[in-house]
Parts: sequence; C-alpha cells; structure tokens
Amino acid sequence: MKKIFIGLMTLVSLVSMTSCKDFLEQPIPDTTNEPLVFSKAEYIEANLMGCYHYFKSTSTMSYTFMGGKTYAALDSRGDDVVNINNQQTLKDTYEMNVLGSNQLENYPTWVMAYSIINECNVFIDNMASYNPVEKGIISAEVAAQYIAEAKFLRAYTYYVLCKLYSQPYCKNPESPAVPLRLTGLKASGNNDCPLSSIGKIYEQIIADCNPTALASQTLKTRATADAARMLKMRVEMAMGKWSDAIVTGSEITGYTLVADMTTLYGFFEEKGYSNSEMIFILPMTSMDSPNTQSSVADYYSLNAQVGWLDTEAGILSKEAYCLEADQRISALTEWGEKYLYTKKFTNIGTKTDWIPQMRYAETLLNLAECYANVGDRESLDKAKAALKTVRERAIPAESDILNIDELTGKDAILEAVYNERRAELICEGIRGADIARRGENFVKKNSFVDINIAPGDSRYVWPIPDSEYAYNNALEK
Amino acid sequence: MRKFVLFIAAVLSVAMVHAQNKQVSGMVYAPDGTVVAGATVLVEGTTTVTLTSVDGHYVINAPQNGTLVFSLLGYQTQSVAIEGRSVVDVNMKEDTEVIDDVVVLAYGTTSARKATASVASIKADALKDSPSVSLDQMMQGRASGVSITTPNAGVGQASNVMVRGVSSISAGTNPLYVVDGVPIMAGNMSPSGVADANGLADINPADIISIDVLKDAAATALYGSRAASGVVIITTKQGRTGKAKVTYDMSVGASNATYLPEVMNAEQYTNFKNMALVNRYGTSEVSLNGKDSEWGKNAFNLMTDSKGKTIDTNWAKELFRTGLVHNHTLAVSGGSNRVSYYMSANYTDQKGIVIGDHYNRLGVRANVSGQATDWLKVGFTANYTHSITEMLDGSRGGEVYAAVGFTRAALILPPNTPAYNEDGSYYVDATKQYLGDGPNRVTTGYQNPVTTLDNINNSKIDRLISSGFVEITPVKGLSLKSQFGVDYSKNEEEKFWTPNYGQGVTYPGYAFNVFTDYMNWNWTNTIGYSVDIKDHNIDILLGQELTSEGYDYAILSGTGILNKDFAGLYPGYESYDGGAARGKRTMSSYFARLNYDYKSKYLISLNYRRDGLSSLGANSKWGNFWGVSAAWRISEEGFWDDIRSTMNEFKIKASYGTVGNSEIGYYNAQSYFGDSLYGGNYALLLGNIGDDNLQWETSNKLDVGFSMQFLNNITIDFDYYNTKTSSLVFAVPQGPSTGIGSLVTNAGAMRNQGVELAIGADIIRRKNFVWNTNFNFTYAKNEVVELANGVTEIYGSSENNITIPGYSVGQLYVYPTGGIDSETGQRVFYGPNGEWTRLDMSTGSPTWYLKDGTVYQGDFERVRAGNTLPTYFGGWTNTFRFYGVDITLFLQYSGGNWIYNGTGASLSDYRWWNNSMDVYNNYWKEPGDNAKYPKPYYGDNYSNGSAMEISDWIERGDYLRVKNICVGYTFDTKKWNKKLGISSLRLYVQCQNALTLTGYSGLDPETNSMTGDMILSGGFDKNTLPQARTWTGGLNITF
Repeated sequence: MKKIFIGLMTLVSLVSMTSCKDFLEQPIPDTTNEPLVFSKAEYIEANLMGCYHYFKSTSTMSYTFMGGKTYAALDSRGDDVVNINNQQTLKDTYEMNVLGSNQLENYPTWVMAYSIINECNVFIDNMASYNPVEKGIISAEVAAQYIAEAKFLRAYTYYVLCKLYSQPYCKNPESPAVPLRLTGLKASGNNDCPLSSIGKIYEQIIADCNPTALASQTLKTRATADAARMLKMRVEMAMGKWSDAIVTGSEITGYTLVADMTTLYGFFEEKGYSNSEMIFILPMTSMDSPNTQSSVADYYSLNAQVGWLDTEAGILSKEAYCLEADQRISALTEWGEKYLYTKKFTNIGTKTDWIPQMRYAETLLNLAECYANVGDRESLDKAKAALKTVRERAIPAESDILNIDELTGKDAILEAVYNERRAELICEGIRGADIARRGENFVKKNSFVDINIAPGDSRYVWPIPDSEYAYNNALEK
Repeated sequence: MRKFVLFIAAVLSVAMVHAQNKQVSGMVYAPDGTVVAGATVLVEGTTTVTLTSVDGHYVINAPQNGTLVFSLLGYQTQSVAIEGRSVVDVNMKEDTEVIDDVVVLAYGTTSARKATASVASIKADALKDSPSVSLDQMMQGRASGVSITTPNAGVGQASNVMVRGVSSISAGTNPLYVVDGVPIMAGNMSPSGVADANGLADINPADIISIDVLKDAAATALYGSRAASGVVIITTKQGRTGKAKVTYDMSVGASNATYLPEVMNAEQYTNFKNMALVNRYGTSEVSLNGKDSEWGKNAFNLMTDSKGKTIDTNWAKELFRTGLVHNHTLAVSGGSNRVSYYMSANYTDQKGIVIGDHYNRLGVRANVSGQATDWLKVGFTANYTHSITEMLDGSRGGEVYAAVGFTRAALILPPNTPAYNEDGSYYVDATKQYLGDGPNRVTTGYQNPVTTLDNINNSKIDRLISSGFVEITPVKGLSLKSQFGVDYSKNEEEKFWTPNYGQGVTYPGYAFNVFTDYMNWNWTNTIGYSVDIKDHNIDILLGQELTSEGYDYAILSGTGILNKDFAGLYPGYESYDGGAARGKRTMSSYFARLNYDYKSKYLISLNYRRDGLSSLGANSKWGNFWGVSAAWRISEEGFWDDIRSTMNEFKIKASYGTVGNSEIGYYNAQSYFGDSLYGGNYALLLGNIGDDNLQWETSNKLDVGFSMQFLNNITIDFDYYNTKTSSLVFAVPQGPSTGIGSLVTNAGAMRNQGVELAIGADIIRRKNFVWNTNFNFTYAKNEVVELANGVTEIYGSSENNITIPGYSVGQLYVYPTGGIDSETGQRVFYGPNGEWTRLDMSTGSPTWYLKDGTVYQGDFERVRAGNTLPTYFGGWTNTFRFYGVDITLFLQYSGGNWIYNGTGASLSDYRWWNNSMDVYNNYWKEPGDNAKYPKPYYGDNYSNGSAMEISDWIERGDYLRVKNICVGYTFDTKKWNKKLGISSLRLYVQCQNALTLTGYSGLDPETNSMTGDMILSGGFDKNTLPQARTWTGGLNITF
C-alpha cells in the first residue's frame, strides 16, 4: 500500500510541476524588453523619444537623418549651395549623379528612413497591443498624443522620402514613390513591399497629421499641433490644394517673427526652447550630437569649408537678395578666402547646433505662395502682406530695393515669393524640396557645374538603392 | 569501511525489512581460469543489469527465484538460476553464438542484440593508459563516426568533437555530454578567454567506466532539441558488493613538441638577411632604424658576450621545454547487500611544453547507491573539482597574429639577439616594451617573449557535478524514478601585465579579473514499465524533465597595478573599470519510448520528445522530436539454422527521425531595447528585434546498417547515414525597407553523409596468448546546401576561409599562385582571369608584371582552395597479451582535408624575421633555378604568404599516427604473500603521438590555429603550438 501511495505521490508531483507555465518565460535581465517598456509611463515616453532619436539620428548612428546629413542633402539637391567637395560626401547629390549603388548618401538615407518608420510603426502597434491605457499606466489623452507624435514622425519621414525618390506629384500623382509600410515589422519574411504612388503616400501623410491629438503637446522639440499643420500644409501645397493649405496654415496662430534672426540658430541649452517663431526644432546636446562629419555644420560652416553659398548663380546672385542691409546677409553669412558661407550652423566642434525644421517665417511664405496661386485680387494682396512681413523683418523697408507693394500680377508675386523662400530658408532643408514640389528643372550653372535636369529624367530623383531591389521581390527595376 | 557503510545506511533511513529481492554476487571466470572483466550480468526479464569489475566480480539485485544471464563478446551467453543462493560463480564458455553487450540508451540501457539504434561505445579498458587529462582527447580514433581534433598541445585546450559531421554553421557543433544522467558543460570554460579551460577535464578519466556516443535519430531522439550534434553519455564507476577494494592508479610522463622546424643560426641569419639587403639596396650597410650599431656597419651583425662568445639564441629553447605530467587516482569501492559505493580522489599536475603552461587539478568523487527496501532505491553522486589552468603563450584562442605567440616567436625572433642579459635580466630595449635591437640596425617591435614570465594568465575553476535519485518499484516491471542533478561552476580568471615589461608598460601595470558563476540543474522524472507477454517483449518509458542553465559574470579591470601581489585587484590601483552580465535559459520536456520486440527477432523502437525552450520565439517555443528504428535479426530465422555455426549473428537495422540543435543565444528571440538620448531625455531604441518564430535547427537523420558476427569472433558493424539539417540559425539581413537590419532567424540547409565501419576480432585467444584487434573507418561528406536569402557566403574569423553552398563548410580561400618563376626568382600570382603575373618586390613595394614586362593593373581575387574537414578518419587498435605482458598499439588516421601552412609562410618572411633552414637551402639564386622560395629582397612579406595568403602554401592534411604504444606487465600476485594485501599489480610504459606519417610540411596536420572558430575557420596553421609527444610510465595497483 505504502509503495503504491508513494508511486502515486510521484505521479501527482510530476503533473503539478509541469503546470508551472512561467518556467519558460525568461525575459532578458538588465535590459528593457517590450513588456517592461509598456508597463511604465516613463519607459513608454522614452520609447517615443527613441523614435525622435532616430528621426534626428545622432552619435549612436552612423548616419544622421533630419538632424544632419539628410537635411543637408535636401539643400544640396538645390541650386543655392555648392557642394563639389567629396570630403563629407553629398557631392553626388549636388551633381545629380546619385546611383543605386551609392553607399554614402543614398543607401544610408534609405536605411535610416525606414528604421524611423519601423520604430514608429512598432511603437504604434505596441500601444495597441500592450494597451497601457486599459491597464491605467497612461491616460487615453496621453496615449492618443504619443501615437499622434509617432505618426507625425512617420509622416515627416515619408515626406522626405518623397522629396528624394519620387517624380513630382504635380507632373503625375501616380508617380511611383517608395514602399508604404504602416505596420511594425518584428519578424523576417516581410521584405516584399511594392512602391506606392506619391499620391497615395501624400494621402497617408495628411491622414497621419492629427493636430487635435497634439493640442496639449507644447514642447517645440516634439511634434505640436502646429508642426502637424505645417507638414499637412506642405503636402497640400505639393498637391496643389491651395485653398486647403490656406485653411490649414491659417490655423497656425500665436507666433511672431523674432527681430534678431541669429536667435533662431545655435545651441539652445534649455529644453523645449521657446522662441516665438519656432514651430519644430531638433535639439542637440553634447551627449547626443551627430556623429563625425554628419552634422549640418560639417557641411556648411566656414570651418568645414565643404559647401558654400552659390553667389554666382544662386539666390545670392540676385541683386535684391544680397543686400548689405539684409540681416540674413550681414548677420547670417560670412566670407571665407574665396566663398561665402552660412553662419546658421557653426558648431563644428561640439556639433550642438539645433536644427530648425519648421518656423513661422515658412508658414507665412507658404501662405503667400498659396494666396498667390489662388490668384484673385484679394488673395494677391494677402500674399503680398505675408511676404512683406517676412522680408521686412530681415530688411528695413527704407533700405530695400525691392518694393513688394509695387508688384502686380500673379506671376510677379509668385516669383517674389519663390525668391524670398530661397533667401529666407537657405540651408534649412527647403530649397531642394521646393524645386521638386513645383516640378521645376534642377538648374545649376556656375564655375563648377552645368546641370539642367527636367522632371521625368531618371537623375531627377535618387534611384531606390540596389540592395532594396535585391531583397524586395515586389519591386521591378 | 564497514562503519562508513553503516553510516550511509543510517542516513538513508533504510528500513531493513526482509526483501523479495536480494543481493547476489559472484565471480565470472574464463575457461582458462582467469577472471572475466566487463561481462554483462542481467536479471532475466528485467532491465537490471551490471558489469563485472576488472577482477571479475559482480553484484546485482535479483529475485531469489530469478535467473541471471551472463554475457560478453566472445563467450557463450549463459543463464543461471539463482535458486536462493547469494553467491553465484560462473565459468564462461568461449565462442558463443551471439554478442550481447550492454548498450547505453538515452535514459536507460539495452542489450547489443536488441539494439536498433546507432551507438558507439568506448569502454574503460580502451582509455586506461592514456596520459590525457581529459576524456575528449582519449576518444580520438576510438569510435566510428566521431571526429576529434585536438588543435594543439596547450594545456586547457578542448578538443573539437564532431559526431557525424558538422551539424551547424552558427549554433555550435559540440555533442551534448551527459554524465550519469546529468547534462554537463563542455568546451572552453573561460568566458573571457583569459586562459582556455577545458570543461571536460573536470571529469577524471580514471573514474569513467564507459563512454557511449549516441549517433542516429533513434538513439538521440530522447534528448530532442539538443541531440543534433550527437550525445556522449559518460558512465562513472559504481561500487560492487563484496570486500572493499582499494585501487591506486598513477602515471608520470614527460612530453615534448612533436616537431619544430629548424631555423637559421645567428651566423646564417646575419649573412642571409644582409644578402637580402644587398638584393634590395645594393648594399647591406644600411640602417633600418636610423641608428648605428657598435657591432658593425651592416644592418645585421654578430654580437658577442663578455667572454667573446657569439650570441646565438635558440628561441625555441627559451620558450619550449620538456613538459611533465603526473596523474594519481586513489579509489575505494565496495558494497554490502544493500549499499554500494565508489569513492575516489584524484590529483593531476601538468606542465606544458612551453613556459608558463600549467594545469593542476584536484578532484573527489563519491557514487553511492542503496537499496532501501525491496521497492525503494536511492543514490547519490558528487564530483567536485578544483582546477587551475595557467598559460602565457599569446597565441591561444585563435590569436594567430599575437606578438607574444610563443611558436612564432620561437621560430622568427633574431637568433643573434640575446633573450637575457648576462646578469640574468631580460634583454629589452629602452622602453622595456620590446626586445632590444641587439647587434642589428633594425627594431623588431616585438616583445621579448620571456618577459611574459612576469605576467599572470589563469583560470581557476571550482566545480560540482552532483545528482541524487529515488527509484520506486511498486510492482514487478514498473519503476518510477526521479533524479535531480546540478552542474555548478565558479570560475575566476585573472590576467596581470607587469608594469615593467611588454604590454603592461604603458598602463603601467594592468590587471583584468572575471568572476563567473555557472548554475545548471535538471530534474528528470521517468516511469519505466517492462513486460513480456509470451514472445512479445515490451519496454515503455515515459518521462518529464525540467532544465535550467544560467550564468552570471562580473568583470573588473584596473590600471596602475604595480605589483603581481595586487593582480587580484584589491588595493592600490589607479583606475578601474567594470562590467557585468547574466543570463538564463530554461527547458521543459516530455518524452516517451516504446521498445518492442517479438522473440528478440523483430525489433522496433519508437522515441518521442517534446521540448519547450525559453530562448526560442514566442510562437515556436515548443518543438517535437522523434526517432523510429527497427531491426530484423535475420539470424534468428529458421532458415538460418544451417549457417548459424559460421554466421552467428546477422542483423539489419534502419532508423529515421528528427532532432534539433538549440545552441543559440539565450535572448536572440526577444525584442529588447537599447538606451540613448533625445535632447538629453532618456530614449529607448529597439536594440534587438526578436523573431517570434525563431526555432531549433532541425536535423532529419537517416541511418541504415547491419551488424554481424561470424566464425564466433569476428564482428562487423556497418552504417550509412544521411543527415539533412535545415532551418539553420543565421543573422539574416532583411530588406533595407523593413528597417530591421538583420534578424536572427532560421534559414539555410546542410547535409552530412557518410559510412561507418567497425570491425573487431579476437584473432588469437589462447590461455596465455591473446590478440584482439579493433578497426574503425569513417567516410564523411559535408555539404552546405543553402544559406539564407541575402547571404551568399560566410567568412570565418578572416577571409582565409569561406563557406558557400555546394561545398563543405570552411573552405580555404586564398590568392592563387604558381610557385617561383625560374627566370626571375619571383612568385607567380594569377589574376582573376588566369593572367600570369610575377610579383616584383625589388623596390619594396609590390608590383606585379605580366609576361610581356608591363605592369599588371588589375586586382587579385581569392579562390576556393580546398576543404578543411577530413573526409575519412578512424583508428586501429591491436592488443596482445602474452602471459603477464600486454602490448597495445593504437594507430589513428585522418585525411582528405587541406591545410594552409601559415607557419611555412611566417618562416619565409623576408623582413627581419628569421627563416627556416628550408629557405636557407632552397631559395632562388640564379636564372634556371627551380626554387621553392623566391629571390630574397629584404622587407618582402608578400611573396611568401605573410601579407597575402597564397595557394602555394595549401597542403594535404592526410596523416597516419602511431597514437599510442603501450607495454604493460601484470604480476602474478596470486603467488605473492597475502600479507602484502596486493591483489593485482600492473606496470606499464607508453608513448603517445610516437610517430606521425604525413606529407604535411608544417607543424602538425592536426593543428588548427583558429581554436575559437574551428568549424568555419578550419585548416589554418599559424602561430600555434604543435602537438606533444608524451612518454609515460605508470602503475595500476589493487589492494
């Protein structure tokens, strides 16, 4: 009897032991894993900061996205800065000669962009699957805001990709752009993804801009409601939806242009820098500054001597845009031995220049361009008024040789707006995007290059990297 | 001893009730009156089985009305009814009809007759005279299908053991080692690589009774996810009923490098290098370090000591030495009716063949088991080892370019420069970091290797492997067993670089300590049921197991350590740094086996295991493994009756199944985050993206074979195997637009095929003359079938090895060359399209010329230059016993592989490096010479394979080795005075690695320099210790 009893006991203990389910759950120690991240409010926010970190990309990355190299690439595609020095690369970008095999400009931009996109997608998906709201870890409002921030970063990244890889929407809304990935990838077997049209991606960007959810997020180093509006407005303009863009832009209120433009640039120590003109800016600290040769200052500063302002054929060659009285010239440029350099980004040593992404001057110029395109008399007046606000901040009216009030007709006003954008936003990642948006030719004719590339030409865009074709079977060359 | 036994009995709280089963003991004798060791004693109708000890004694638990079955190869199997006796002695009869050894299975045993799976066994007898300190080295050549390479003679060096080929590319290829039911850690146990420590060396070989290698799916399926690389089951000695027996085994051995190439002496060196300078510059009166020398105007001069004697340093003598090893094992074993015990203590001290190489081990073992009642059995095993491995040689762990790699230093350092000053202090330059220039106007930039004697490099291990079990037999045939085992190890690694010389000068003084705890445990519960219904014999095993493996380590390093006394990093350091990591993985398993046979004629075995492992993807934590085998003993059929007297046994068998390899990172399948900042705010970035579907590497194994015995004493075993391994684990690059980078996932496939043949025969078996022979041969073919999408090739530790589909892993990959151009004396290199070029080094910078004298503008590309895995290997043992004398001759062979002779390349480097006498005698002198070495231009490190690995140094790796010759004498102790108390005494001398026949011209064809990556970076010989030849004398004595 006894032995049967002991035998039974053994069997019972066998069965009971095997019912301990958690035995196979061994989360990695001393490192944050997903369940842990989504169990604490501060870790969730830190994960969102990780999305921003990727978006600007710093010392932990070999490449910098909108906090450095890609930001500079958008200008290097344009005609206002010269970049023929191969020291820090982007020479191919300037010369419109980027190949699918390019490992320094094209491939890393692509990889970084999709790393941001996946980081955001995984975050968005995890917010749904771990549901920290239901568990009372964060409020529904905060959760909605975080998701809106991640979607903003995703949308902004797609916006940048469209500017680099897609033929203009205005020429053909169906132009194939890039793969549109909206779900987080955490496994293999997801290589295949076809190109979506630029139109479809623009629709997605607009859908991802959610000012309402961002209403209480006021830090300018993160997505605000107005940053979302700005991005939406840029896309609406690219789609030629001038009235929509005017509606969106008009909702951006409460900003004023700063008198001293030098206060827009440099190293801002205090977090969430509140400048009355700034809408969205990427912060830098000595602990998370860009990698070697990847900061914007490494491209444009006098110390770097890599890229200089084109005084031969660029906007600074036009009489009305290189006035001594213009603080954009007197305070924000300096001459080197041969060339003129911007002073917007100068901290080549510490690389701690913060990187403006959107500021109210652009809002006003966007509005001016929209009104001018609408073209009725009232709108043209509004365009001139907005344009004047921006120009007069930089140049006292009495010293100006351009009289905006005297401009007549849509074309003249548009031209003035276009020129003002170039002068105002030079080296701020806008010019290359503007040319592509309007479907203009890329024209660079100076002592160094003679380039004229029209939309439709394969060189008008960066080719999708060869390695994407190698893995992504949904693409055809 | 009796007290001890009583004590154990009391501790176990055994109620000594009258039992149905009782201990039966006895002696087993051969027809000639000698005792029979290793005979199997089986209680008929049960799985209770034992072996006779070396003195022919056995003890077993058996029912009083039961029957004992005695069997051993070469003897008739006998069944003897116990009929209530407690002592049953048996006289075996020779030339029986069948083989019936015990064959070890996963979680059990069976008899050889009934074995359907593929298992290779190595018995203690075959191991007993080896002077090796660990069992892996002893297994070499003993078992078919098991390839073992010991890459060098360094202490602490683990062997590379492969069962039926390379089972994986990235997930480890070592078999699972199970000691008395406890899976143990093997391989290098130095996590930071300070001083390699062989995990298997913690098992004293003298404690082992048998090693069984489970090879096919049927044999290994019960180890499921860990079985793809085979399973090595190690069984240690148990006590036997009877008088306590005390044995003492000892051996003392001396060892030397088997081979070191001869290099130039001081005068030859000086002349040769000056000649190379003349070829390059037109004069040898140049200064290559910008300095003058008091010894002459040439770049290379001779130096004399204060007595006027020319300095002629034999660096090999400074670094190599005669190693000394001694082993001692003292064991006490015995047992009463209910309790048996085996206890041993061992001590080993090994001084290696180079300075600083030292291994020391102290171990104790206790194996105790007790039959508490007739239905309750308990047992306990503990093995504790304290070991220290020390080494100063910088080339260990695959550090082939280490400046203080002793083998290279011994061969290439300038012989005209002293190692020591006349006052005995080290001969160094002003910085004390490097060897002094001596009489040369050249700075070597190499550390004087003897200064490392002031450094420390060691691994200390305290390890406990222990287990306990309870077994209940409620009714006949049914047994419930629960066993808990632990393998715990505390490792401390210590490195110290003296501030006075060499690498430590700049810190000054550097110390590095790593403290690691390994804690592994497993708990196994099984239910066994065995029943015979008429002619149907059924064995069922059900089991459940929990396993946990974990580590925890801390690193501490410091600088400003001025004294060896503070190498433990306690007081007095200027700055320190630290780090730590820990990890754990767990496994939960269920398994079942059904063995069925009909009249022992038709046999079938069904094996199944289900494993859940924490380190796999969330969706694929659980996997199913299985193996089916069947055998038909044709010789049991009626139609065989006529030939059974000559063809005693003939069995055909086949098995198929699926097992896995789970040696992947603990946390590869998990998504976890890295830390960063965004504008000074804490940011978490996706660090590793885990594949939720990450699963085991899966091996589908097919085995077909036969075993036969004829003429009563010749046995042949033959197996063909074909293993396809798929879902290999790789870090697979993902499409760039996934944003993932790469992901550890399953992809790719590999195939291993081969045949195995083992032949054994008792050629002569007379009373005073016995000769038996065992031969085994394995042919093995490995082929990488496919790699992952996006992975076209995998390099080894360097580009010298490449793994690509269609070929075996780790192909040599070097630049194609075509010997020496007889017109110019320059090395011929071939371009990617076969362009003939010659390398001109006359200006010091490499320039390649085409036949027409124009400069070749193209590049050079590496080509695949040979497989590095042996395609055939095996061993041949002959044992002779003539009266008291025994002689064993063990030959071991291997081949079909290629080796890059990097030692040859180093030895013909035309910088200041000393060169071999082969270079001295065979370099190109004038047009028309068919030279082996190019015209010497000083500074040339291209023509000879140093800077660019060249195909001229690829050589065949075939060899035949006299691995072991042993001569022993056993005294006829029966005639001795009983008062001496000696019941047996044997003395022996033996030589290991006595002779090697090979065409390979480097150090040794078995040498593999890339010890950290032996599979993907095989066949590379550079800057590594050669093998050792060891002469040993020893004695085995029993009281």
